[in-house]
Amino acid sequence: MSYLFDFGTKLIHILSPQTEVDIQDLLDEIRTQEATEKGITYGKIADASGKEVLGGSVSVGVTLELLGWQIKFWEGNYIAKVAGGNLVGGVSGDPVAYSAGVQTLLIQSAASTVVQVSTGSGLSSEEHDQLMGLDTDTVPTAVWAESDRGSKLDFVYSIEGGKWTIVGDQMVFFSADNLTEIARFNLYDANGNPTMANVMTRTRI
Amino acid sequence: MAYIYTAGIIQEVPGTSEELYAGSGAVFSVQKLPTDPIFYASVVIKNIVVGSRYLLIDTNNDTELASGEAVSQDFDLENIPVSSDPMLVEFRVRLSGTLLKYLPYKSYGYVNRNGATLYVSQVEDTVAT
Repeated sequence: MSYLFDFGTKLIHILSPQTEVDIQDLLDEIRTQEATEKGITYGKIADASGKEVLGGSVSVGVTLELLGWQIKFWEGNYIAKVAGGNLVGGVSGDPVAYSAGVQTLLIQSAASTVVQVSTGSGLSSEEHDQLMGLDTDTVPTAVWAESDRGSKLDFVYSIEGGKWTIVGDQMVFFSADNLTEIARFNLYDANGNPTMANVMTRTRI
Repeated sequence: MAYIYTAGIIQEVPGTSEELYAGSGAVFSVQKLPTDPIFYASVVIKNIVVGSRYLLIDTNNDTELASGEAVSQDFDLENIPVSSDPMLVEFRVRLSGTLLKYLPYKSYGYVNRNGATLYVSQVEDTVAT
């Protein structure tokens, strides 16, 4: 993981090509930076809580509170992810600074837990049998049919991860390789006329 | 040549050695800049975890008085310039080792002509690894 701490602006820059931040990793790096020759001349960067053992190998998840600091991902068209615990605090309650083109997926939980697994899957043989005994043939109506699931998820992934472009009164979506076209929409203004500006309606073709 | 200071006037006394004598009503004073310390004192540090980085700050003007890395649990910081009597100081301690990390520690104390003793009580960070 690569981070750059700017004590002047109170920004933790996430450097390319890293697109995911693990809370535990971020906390460890924060404590290291606080203890540097430069870091000690500034106040604390963050508070953290959690990890109380709930029994066995299960413990409370980590919550990291940034004290006036924010993390900032490098600019680009991608989906960034913050996981492994809760990230709170920051500036006006926002722990993530704006970066052009970046959508940040902040995974928070009011009751997050950490399960320590030394080997295997972490399930007991009883839990394993229970899981394997589930009826997988019955698919709820609200969920895509198993046969369609892969292609539909691929489509969503491609929409979010690939290039978008507006050309000739149409919006064109590409897959993550930015080359393969996956969807094309006609664009219309408020009067139903084809347009590339002030778009009010799109229709897939 | 010697000089005599009396009634606010310094006068030469011919044929004498180079000394300054005070006449009746004379007042001598030592001038100092506001930034000059009024005296120096020792600050004793107790119970710090070896390897910790420390920083001593004068809270009057946020200037650094001493800094370094602890090589023993107890030690003295000698010749600390004191700008007011007493002087309120802030003592910061940080340690982030590969095996153990500690929560950032901060405490305050007053330094006077007898110095000061600061007892450090660092707490292990059980969340960071």
